[in-house]
Amino acid sequence: MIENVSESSIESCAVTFRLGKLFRMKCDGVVDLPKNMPVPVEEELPYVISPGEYLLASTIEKMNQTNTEYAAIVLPKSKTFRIGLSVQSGLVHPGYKGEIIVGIQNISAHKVRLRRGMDLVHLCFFDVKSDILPIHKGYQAGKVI
Amino acid sequence: MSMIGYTQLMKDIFDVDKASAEALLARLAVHKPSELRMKSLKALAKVGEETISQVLKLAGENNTGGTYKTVNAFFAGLVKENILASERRGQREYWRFTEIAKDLQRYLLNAG
Repeated sequence: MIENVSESSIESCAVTFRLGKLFRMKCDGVVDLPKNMPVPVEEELPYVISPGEYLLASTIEKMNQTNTEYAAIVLPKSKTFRIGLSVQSGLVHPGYKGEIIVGIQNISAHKVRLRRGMDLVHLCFFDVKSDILPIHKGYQAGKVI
Repeated sequence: MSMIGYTQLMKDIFDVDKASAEALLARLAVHKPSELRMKSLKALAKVGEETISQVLKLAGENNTGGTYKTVNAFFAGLVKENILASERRGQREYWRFTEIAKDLQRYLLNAG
């Protein structure tokens, strides 16, 4: 169901996902999809995110749902907003395979060091009662965009 | 719609029935599980089936004398609890987890 996960990541009703890789949108002032695509951040982690800077992040843990029983809501860990980060996240559809992609923005007035393996989000799983539509192929396998 | 809790997550992610593993751990606790004994049991959990001598080697321990005897006594105790099973093949005795203790085996593997 989830790859690269350890027992210590299992919470009472959620699973913690950790920061794996960072990406940023490469553009000349205007983001125009699909012309501009996110590229991996060149600097290796730990990376210092500046105030106002916005990045995309993928997780170390990887969803690998063999059945379509569960959907998940991605919520930021409280640790992230305690240090001044805003994490934008969404819904994981049943049957999704791949890393979780979230947006990270430094909303504080100070710089923040991002380390590989830091707790980033937790996923709360819900069972889905009825039949579902096939998952949108475009967002499978941890595609950043 | 209901949220999935800890025991179900453990079962879905690690295929571990925590309640069953913990019940077996309670039975195991009666047999004085020292650090050496638990290290050997974890090594057995990892390898699946092996002789005590090889399990001790895998655990990085001395595999003769008192070390061998203490683990042998521990494993023999776990056979009585139906946690382990042993089978003699020629001169050697091979040990493995029983079917009902598979959750404990996976639990020990995940415990690292």
